[in-house]
Amino acid sequence: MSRTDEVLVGHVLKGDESAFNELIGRWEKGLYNFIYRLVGHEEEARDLVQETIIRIYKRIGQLREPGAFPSWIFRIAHNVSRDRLRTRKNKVIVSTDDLMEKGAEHLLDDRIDRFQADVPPDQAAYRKELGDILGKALQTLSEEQRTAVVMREYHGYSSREIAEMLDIPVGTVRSRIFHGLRNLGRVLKRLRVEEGE
Amino acid sequence: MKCNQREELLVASLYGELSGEEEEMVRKHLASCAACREEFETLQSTTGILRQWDDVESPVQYRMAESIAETERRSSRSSRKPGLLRRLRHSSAPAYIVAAAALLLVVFNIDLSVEDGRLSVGFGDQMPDVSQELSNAEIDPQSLGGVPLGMPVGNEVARFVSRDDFVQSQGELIRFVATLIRESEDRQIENLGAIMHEYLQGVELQRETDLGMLGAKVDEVERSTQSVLQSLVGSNAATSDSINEEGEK
Repeated sequence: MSRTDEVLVGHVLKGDESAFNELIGRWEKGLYNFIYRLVGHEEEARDLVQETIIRIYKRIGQLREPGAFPSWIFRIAHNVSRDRLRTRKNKVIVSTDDLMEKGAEHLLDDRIDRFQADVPPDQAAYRKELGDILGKALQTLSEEQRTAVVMREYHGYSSREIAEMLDIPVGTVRSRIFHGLRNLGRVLKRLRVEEGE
Repeated sequence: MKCNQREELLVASLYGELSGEEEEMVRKHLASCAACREEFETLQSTTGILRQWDDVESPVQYRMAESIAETERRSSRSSRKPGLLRRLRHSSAPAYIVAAAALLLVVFNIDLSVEDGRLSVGFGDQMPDVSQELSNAEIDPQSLGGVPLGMPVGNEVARFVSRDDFVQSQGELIRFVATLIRESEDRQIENLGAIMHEYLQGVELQRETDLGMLGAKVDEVERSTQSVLQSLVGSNAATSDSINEEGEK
C-alpha cells in the first residue's frame, strides 16, 4: 500500500531523502502542467519546476500541516511562476506584431481555422495541437485571471481554496474566473470541439 | 441580481458552489434573463473546451533530494572559506602563492590542511587520507603561516602540487575565471536586450494609442466641418431660391 503524503512528509522531516523523491515523483506531473499553463513555455516551465522543488526541499520544515502538502506546494509553484512572469512583465507568448495588428480576440483565428480544416494524422497529434491552441489562448489572459482559471479548471480547487492559497477574497477569485472564461470564450469562439473527442 | 453579484453567482453556480436557495435564485433569473443565460452558456461551453486539454507527463524526472542536499552541504562548507582567505591574506608567503591558493580554495572548493609537516589537499567532496612527505616539497607549509587548519580524520592527499603544476593551474584558473566573467557579461547583455525590447514595445503601443486618438480627432473635425459646410450650402441654396422667387414676382 502506498504511503500518504502526510506519512512521507513525516519521513522527509526525519531526513529520509528517498521519501522526498517519492513525494516529488507523485506531484511532478501536476506541478509541471500547472506551471506550464501559467508561463506558456516548456523550457521555462522545466526550470521553474526545479526551482519549486528546491524551495519545497528547503522549506518543508516550515509546513505546519503535513496534510496540506498539495496546496502548499502549489502555492510555492504559483509564487515561483508569478515572480518569473513579473520579470517578463506579463508579456504574451505570441507574436507582438500579431497581437497589435489583430487584437487579442482574433489572435488565434487563423490557427483555429487551420486546425479545424486539417485532418490530423492521429488522435495524439490532434490533442497536442488543441493543447497548444488552448495554451496560447490562456496566455492572452492577465496573470491573475489565468492563475484562477488554471487552478479551478485543471486542478479542481474550489473558489474558497484558491482564495486561501492566494490570500484574496472568494469574490475576487470568482470575478477573475468569470472574466478569464469570458475572455477565453471570445478568443476561442471559432473553435468547435466535440467533448471527449 | 446586481452586475458584480451576477459574475460571482454565475461562476459559483457553474461550479456547484451555491446553496440550494442561491442556486434556485440563479436558475429563476437565468430563465427570465436572456443576456445572463447567454453569458452562462458561454461560460459552460468554454469550460467544456478547456477540459479537452490533457495533462502531459513531466519531461524530466525530478529526483533531486540527493543533489539538493549536496548543494546545501557544499554551500555551508564554503561559508568557512572567508576565514581561511583572511589568514592567507595576512600570511608572509610570497604573493603569487597566496593569490593562487585563494583562487584554488574559492573556485574548486578545495580544502587545505597542515598536519605534522604534511600538506593535505582535498578536492570537492573527496577528502583522501594524508600520505605525502613535504621535505622535498616545493611549497613550505610554514610559508602559509604555519597555522594548522584542521581536517577531518582519514583524509589523503589527492595530488602533490609542484611549482610547475601550480603555475599551470594558475593559468587554467585565470582562463576559467575569464570564462565566468564573459558568460556573466553575455547574460547582462541579454537582460539589457530584453529590457530594451520591452521598452520599445511600450513606446510602440503608446504610439499606436496616440495615433488612434489623433485619427479619431481628425475624423471628428472632418465631420463637423462637413456638417458646417452642408448647413452653409443649404442656407445659400435657400437664400438663392428666395431671391429667384422675388425676381419672378
